[in-house]
Amino acid sequence: MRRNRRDGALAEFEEVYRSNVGLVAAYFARRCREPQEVADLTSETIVRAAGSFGAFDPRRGSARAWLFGIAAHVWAGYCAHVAESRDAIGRLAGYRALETSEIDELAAKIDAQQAGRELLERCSMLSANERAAIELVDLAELTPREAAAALGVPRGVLRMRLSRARARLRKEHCVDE
Amino acid sequence: MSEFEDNLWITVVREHGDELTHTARTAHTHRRASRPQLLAGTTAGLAAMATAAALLFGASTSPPAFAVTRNADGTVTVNLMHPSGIAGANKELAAMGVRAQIAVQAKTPPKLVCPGGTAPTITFDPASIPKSQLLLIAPGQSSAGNAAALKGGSNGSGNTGPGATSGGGNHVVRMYPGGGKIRTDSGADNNVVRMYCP
Repeated sequence: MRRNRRDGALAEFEEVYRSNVGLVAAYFARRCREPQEVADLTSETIVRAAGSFGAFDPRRGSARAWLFGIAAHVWAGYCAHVAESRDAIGRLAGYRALETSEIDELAAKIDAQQAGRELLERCSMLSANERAAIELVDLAELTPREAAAALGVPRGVLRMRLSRARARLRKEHCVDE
Repeated sequence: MSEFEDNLWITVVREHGDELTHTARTAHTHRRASRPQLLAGTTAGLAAMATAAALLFGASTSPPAFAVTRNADGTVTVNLMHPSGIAGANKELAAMGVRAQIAVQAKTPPKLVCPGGTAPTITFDPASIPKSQLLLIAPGQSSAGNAAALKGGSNGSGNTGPGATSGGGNHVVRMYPGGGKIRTDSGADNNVVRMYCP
């Protein structure tokens, strides 16, 4: 389908948004207990993505991988501010407070990610890189190729991390096969 | 899409819709790198001129997509001839310091058709929008008669906007044809502000 050049980027970004916003919210729901945190981190990721969509090059990886790369940066920045005991939420551009119905939605999403959160906790013996590989591929539904792009590593490296992580998990009986 | 995701999309469109509309994707237009700058310059120039005249065109060779006019009595009139004019109208409203924005529900673009080919119009008094609040107008499907319905909602900063529910009561803002002011009311026909055909 051919789109009007003038609104092409907006329509294209909407496709990216609608296909991935749920996965991005789930990514943060595995990390946060508060709906407002999930909302703010998801909003920060999406707004940053919208602001830099002009520079997104699909030849370098899928939109999903690109979006998760941004999400990882947002999360890292958030953690750094928390570690420094600074107002991490306050730095998130003051996104709006949620309506009650939205809080309920996001609370349900947080609950739905309980299994994923537990898996990540059980994977604590893995390195951070291995955990990230397992999460993106096994929980966030990225392909190994997309996960490699999101983490900024060659596909071979990602596959090696994934393989090593799964082997260790099998050894530790952390996953059911 | 959940309510959160729909509201976040409205925020994205409000904050980046205009920018995205005018974005020439790098990956698709390597040989046209100067194009976005030209477009941006044109838009900025038009916006500057519009602060006085308040009439903007969506494209120089097309019919005007919108018009934003400040009337002598202080009210503001917005004519929306085409959904593509939403971003420009919002920019103009912001440039005029009016705390009102037309939101986009991207999946259901508004049908802005009036008898005789005229444009739906909304006139309101910006002074009646409570401070710290933003009038958010979300185009929806046409309602009965010749009115294109617009739905009020909460703004993007956590404040309850005109037309949104707040606490236990419904605070309703309505637009009336012929320059009627925003009013707070409650009743069955709530949460709706209407853009009337002239």
